[in-house]
Order: sequence, then C-alpha cells, then structure tokens
Amino acid sequence: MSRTITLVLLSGSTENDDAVFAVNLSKAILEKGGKVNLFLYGNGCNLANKPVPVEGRSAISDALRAHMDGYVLSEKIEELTRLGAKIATCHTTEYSRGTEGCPYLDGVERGDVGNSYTRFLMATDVLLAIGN
Amino acid sequence: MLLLLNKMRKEYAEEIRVLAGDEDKTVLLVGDAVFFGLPGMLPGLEELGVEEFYAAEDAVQARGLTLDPKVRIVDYPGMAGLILDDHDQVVAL
Repeated sequence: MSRTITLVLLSGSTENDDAVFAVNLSKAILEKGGKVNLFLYGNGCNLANKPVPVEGRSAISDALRAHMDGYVLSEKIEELTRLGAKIATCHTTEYSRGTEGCPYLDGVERGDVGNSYTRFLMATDVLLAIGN
Repeated sequence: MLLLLNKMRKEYAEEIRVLAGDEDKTVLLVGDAVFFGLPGMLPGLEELGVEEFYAAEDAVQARGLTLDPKVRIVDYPGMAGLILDDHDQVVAL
C-alpha cells in the first residue's frame, strides 16, 4: 500500500542541510511509489519562489555563480511537482518575509495552515517536521 | 518505531523515553545528528532501547566522518524504504 508522507519544512532556502534533505527524500519517496505533500512553513517558504535575476551584469563572479548554482533547489522543487508532489506555502510566513506577492515556481501553490496544511494532515500516514 | 533525528540535541533522550516507550526502536540519523553515530556515542541511545542505527550517506560524507560499525549507511532510496516499507510508526524528533 502506498503511503502518503507530509513534510513540513521549516528551514530554507539554499545552502541548507534541512532543505536539501527534505527535497532529496521527497524525490526518493515519490520514485518508490509514495505520495508526498511538502508544506513550506517559516523560512521554508523562501523555497517557493521563482528566481529573479538582477538586470544587467551581476556582481557575482562566474566561479562563485557556478559554486552557488550547485546548491540552488528551484529546479528540484519543480521536479517534485512534476513527479506528483503537492507543495504549498504558508502565505502568512511569506507576508512577514516580504515575499507574499512573488511568483511561485511551477506547481507550487499558495497555502495556509488552516486550509492547505490541514488537508495535507487529514490524508497523511507519516508526518515529518524538518528544520527549525 | 523509526525515530528520525536531524540535530545534536540533548533533549532527544527524554523525548525518546516518553514517545517510544517500550516500542522496538530504530534511529535514522540525518544532518548534524550523524555525529551521534561516532564511535563511543551509541551507548547513550542503546540505553534508551535503540537497537538499530542508520545514517544518511550524504550527511556522513559531507562531514568526513567514520561512524561506529553498528551504524548502517543509507542513501535516499534506502531512507525512503525505511519510511515507506519498514516501519509502521515514524517520528521526526
């Protein structure tokens, strides 16, 4: 029987052990036939948004950019949604971080604790809270 | 019961005692919690009744650690199997 795992990710965004773990574990669960809900809560909501490149020439060197790109999780988040993961944010935590109006990565949905997260919990076999 | 630990926190001992009680206990160490798998660190968990130990391969490699031989190293598919197939109860502490 396939199980549904809900991960509440409280840490983010890039260069973060917890976020990398949550994303990689989610992919492995999906590939093994499990279902994944990922709720981006607190600083985890910083993983929800599309990258916005700076206009003109970036001050970041090519070498540093190449290093940083290895840690960016945007493409992996979108891959999770393509594999069937349901990913929702907490709009309140987005508001407090000034990102409530920023566009989402493909497949990520605006959410909240009272609605999205509660629906996740009602259909969950395993709940994992990751980060702090 | 599978207990997922991802930080080095002294409060785990009491949490495991309260939450897991007499259940069969397995721990999965991820993130900084892989330091619990160092030689000499396991007796503290064994005293709580933990019988099996797993540690996330990438977290161990990132920290350059050599863990106690009792700790089995698992990749992400292995961790997914522990969570999906091997344990009815999974608790993230």
